Parts: sequence; C-alpha cells; structure tokens
Amino acid sequence: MLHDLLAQMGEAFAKTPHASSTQNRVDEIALQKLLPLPRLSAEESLRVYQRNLEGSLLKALREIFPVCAALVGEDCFRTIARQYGEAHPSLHPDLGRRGDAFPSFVQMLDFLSSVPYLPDMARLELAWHQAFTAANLPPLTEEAAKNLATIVAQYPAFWRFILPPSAKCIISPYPILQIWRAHQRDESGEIHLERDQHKIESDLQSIHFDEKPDRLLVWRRELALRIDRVEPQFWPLLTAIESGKSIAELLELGSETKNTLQEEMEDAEASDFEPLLNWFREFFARGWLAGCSEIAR
Amino acid sequence: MHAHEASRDLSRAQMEHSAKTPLAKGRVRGVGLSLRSKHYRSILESGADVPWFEILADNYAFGEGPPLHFLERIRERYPVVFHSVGMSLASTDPLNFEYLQKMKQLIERFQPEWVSDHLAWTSIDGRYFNELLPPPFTEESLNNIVSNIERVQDFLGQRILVENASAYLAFCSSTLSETQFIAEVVRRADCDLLLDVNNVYVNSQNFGFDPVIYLEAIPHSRVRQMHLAGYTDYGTYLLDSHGARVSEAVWALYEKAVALMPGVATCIEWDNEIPEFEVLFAEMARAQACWNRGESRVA
Repeated sequence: MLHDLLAQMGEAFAKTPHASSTQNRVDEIALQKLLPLPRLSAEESLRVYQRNLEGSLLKALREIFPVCAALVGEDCFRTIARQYGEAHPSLHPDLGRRGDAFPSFVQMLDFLSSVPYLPDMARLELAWHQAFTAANLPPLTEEAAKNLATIVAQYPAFWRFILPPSAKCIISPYPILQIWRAHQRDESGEIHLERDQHKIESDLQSIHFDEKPDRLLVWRRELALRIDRVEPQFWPLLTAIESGKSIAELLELGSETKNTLQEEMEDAEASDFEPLLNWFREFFARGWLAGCSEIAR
Repeated sequence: MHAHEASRDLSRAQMEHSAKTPLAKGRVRGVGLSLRSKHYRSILESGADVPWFEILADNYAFGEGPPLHFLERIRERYPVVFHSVGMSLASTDPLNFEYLQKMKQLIERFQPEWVSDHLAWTSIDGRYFNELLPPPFTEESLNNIVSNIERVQDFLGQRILVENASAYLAFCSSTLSETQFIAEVVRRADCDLLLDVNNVYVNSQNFGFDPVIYLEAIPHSRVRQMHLAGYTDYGTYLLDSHGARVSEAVWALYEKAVALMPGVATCIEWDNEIPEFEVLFAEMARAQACWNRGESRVA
C-alpha cells in the first residue's frame, strides 16, 4: 500500500508541471491521495513538486552543459531538459551522472538541426565534466616508462597502454573547441554565462566552419583540466589506445603507416618498434600515457 | 557541487600531498558552515575561523580529483560532519548498498563526527528524483523508515541523524502529526535528530501550525545538530530554497530553539545562488551569538 502510494506520487511528480490535470490520469490518481493546505490546493501542491523536480534537473544539466545551454537559449534548453527527463529517468543517486545520456539524446532531436554541432559540444562538455571527478592516476614517470618498455616489448600481444582515467577522445567536423572557448570566462576554463553577449557573438563570428575537423583529447593532469588538440597523425594511435588495443595491434597499425612515419621521423630506424617508440615518446612527453596494463589471457 | 566551480590549475606539489595526512581533532561545537566548492580557496587561503564544516557527502562519494583533494585539505584543518541526500530512508525500495558502501568508504577516510540524512524518499522502483520527497505519516510508513534507519545504522556501524524535511503537500492517509512521527522514528530506530529550524518554519507556514509548539514537542535530548537556511516566499507557500539569508522569523525561532536545546551544534546551509564566503561567515557569526545566548542561559 505504501509502495503503491509512493509509486503513484513519484509518477505524478515526474510529469511536466504545465499539463492540465483534468486531462491527466496520473495527476488525478495522485490528487486523490492529497489534502489541501491552508493556502495551497492539492493540485497546487502537486505542481510545486513537479516544478521542483523540473528545476533540479534543469539546474543539473545547465551545470554540466553550460555552453550548450548558452548556444540554444534558455527556453529551448528547458524544452530539451524536459524531454530528456521524460526519456531518461535517473537510475542512480549521483546527480553528477544525470547528463550521461544527454549528448546522444540531443543528437536525436530534429528541431536542433539548425545547431548541428550541439551533440558534439555536449560530448565535449560531458567529457570535461567527467574528467573533473575521474580517478587520479598520474602520468608515467620516465623511470617507470623504461621499466615497462622492457617488459612490454617481450610480450606486445599481452599488454596495452592506458590513458589517464579522465581521458576522452572527441572528434567533430565542427570547430567545437573554438566555440567552447568563446564561452569561457578565462583560460582556466571557468564557464561564464553572464559574459558580454556581444563579445561571445563577436568571437563566434570569427570562427570558420569550413576548417579541419577538431580532434581533441579532454583529460585532467593532476588537478588541471585540459583540452589538447591532437594532430591528425596521432589520432589513429591515440584512439586505438583508448579503445584498448594491444601493443601488438598498435604495431600493426604503426606499420600500415610506416612510410608516413619514416618521413616524419628523421631518426627512424628499421626496427618495427622504432617509429612507434617515437610516437610514444611524444605521448609520454605530453602526459597522455598513464601506464600499461596486462590483457587477460 | 559541480565541475565548473573549482580550480583547475593547482600545482603538482599540491596534488602530491599525501592522502594519509593527519585529520584535525576537536569536537564539533558551536556554529559551523556547509562547505561549498566555490569557497575552497577562500577557506584554505584565509584559514577561515570556522569551528567545523558540514560536508554534503554525495558530492564526494562517486569520484576523485579536485573535490577530494580540497576536502582532504579542509579536513586536515577542520572537524567535519557528513550530510547526505541519497539514502532514501522513507522509500519502500531496497536500500542502495552500493551507495551506502561509497558512504562508508568516505566515512572511513574522513572520519566525520556524525552522519545525517533526511526523513524523506528520493527514489521509488529504482528511479531517482534527486529531490527530497515527504512520506505519509502512517504506521506503515513509520515501520518502513525505522527498519531502513536500523539497517543503515547497522551497515555504517554508527547511529545516524535524521532531518525533518520541508513539505508542500499533505497525504489523506496520514494518521500522525509530523512531530509524533519524528518522535516515534527516533525512539524506535534509536537514531538522533537533525533539527532544521528553517524547515520547521516553512512547514508551519505551509501547514498552518505553531512552530514553537513543534519545537516543544520533539525529543530534545535526541537533537544533535540544527540547520539554518533561507527560504523563498512564493505568496501561497514558502519554499525551502537554501538560496537566501536566514529570515528574521527563522532567527526568532532559532532563539527559541537554542533556549529549549542549548549547546546543539548548528550549521548554516546555502546551496543555491551561493554568495561570497564573507556573507556566509556573517550569517555564521549571527548564529553563533544566538548559540552563545543559549549557552549562557544554562550557565
């Protein structure tokens, strides 16, 4: 009986506060369980909770996706949030995970076709948000890297490199990093929605949408969140590492582009490892490698 | 707490600070503040003269990175208590032991003086609302919440505090008053009480009861902490918004509360439209003056 009451109330609370209760069976059932308060009818009581739930979802999404919110405007973002809340009820007590399905959801919304870069921007903002609280795993030290290299070189099929737990590769045909930066308060990455709208528009107008795709790595070095641009030649290898490919597979990937590599690496030697080692030295220098892990045999 | 409030540019030296640093000793006493990420730097750089902090544990239980880093630095200097919103004690859902395990790990790491949650439900049938929802005041609801509190206390290995929640609706099925319900919960579950004075006032206005009679009716010996916060007046109801200064009416009620229950640690909560630290500090100082008057009456 108690369960049924809470379930009925939960269903009613989660509904949009603007629906007409007379046409709404869920509301009707809930209203039968309520008494009026001195200054609030039962229906108004229900609306308070509906507004509170809608407001808390909107606040959570706005905090995770501030640039998306700024790009589409308050009313549109509220509409998206409402639809998202109905399509993706929260199944976890952590409010920080409330936006996990948001990028794929906005990609499905036809009415956002005029903002084609919005799903990619949502992916970027979600990666930024997730990197903030990702597990701590400092970049490899030089000594540790040397020790690992010795072991790994003997059994390349059974080892893989790992990126920092915060790392996420994002590729977009749109200049999302420039758009994102146009909405920042300063270089530290503080989001500043109150920023002068004219300045944002001016910055946005200077962005050329016919530029090359953005290949980005969002990650956290110790406490500092970063977005690094990834050069095209590094992208296949970096995404292969992200997807958990073994070092043997990375070598195959490397040999496919060996000619290109040898052109780029003046000191490239005949060894199969050497071109990859050059790349890994570069990744290592940038802090992109957090270690190696053994693949379960 | 959310990602965009906090620092992103701390040095390696700060990051490498050992996680096994000593924790500040001392009792949670007087008036403290609810810790907000916006104030990490102000607190650490100024060495703010705050007796203790209340930590919203949910903000730290599910990740690492800067939030945990700053919490460690704060904990080195200040005693803390934990407050949470996700236990869903009034729900009929099975307790979420994954969540409770995270809480337990955080408790072991930071050793708060106590842990609190709400007399409310936040989930049903596996769906989370991320909002504190009121239970009906019935015998069935009472048994359910008592059972959940007992199991949480067994799991955490300590007595917890439960907070009276604000509400904007009344169930037809309720057969007990709010104070009867609370008194029975505390007695049967052998738990303590976190008295939110603002919630008492908000509910008194929304439901039309005398808040002083409410204060007199609750089990004083079980009140281990109080909350003060600001509400928003929407004309036909007051909303427990935690986004404003404590109202004069709530200050007056707090004077009565400290007279009835002197020496109870009190925390200023401010979760929305969070002001500069100085504003919170001023609220804390005012509450401390009230708290001192309560103590001096006893003396």
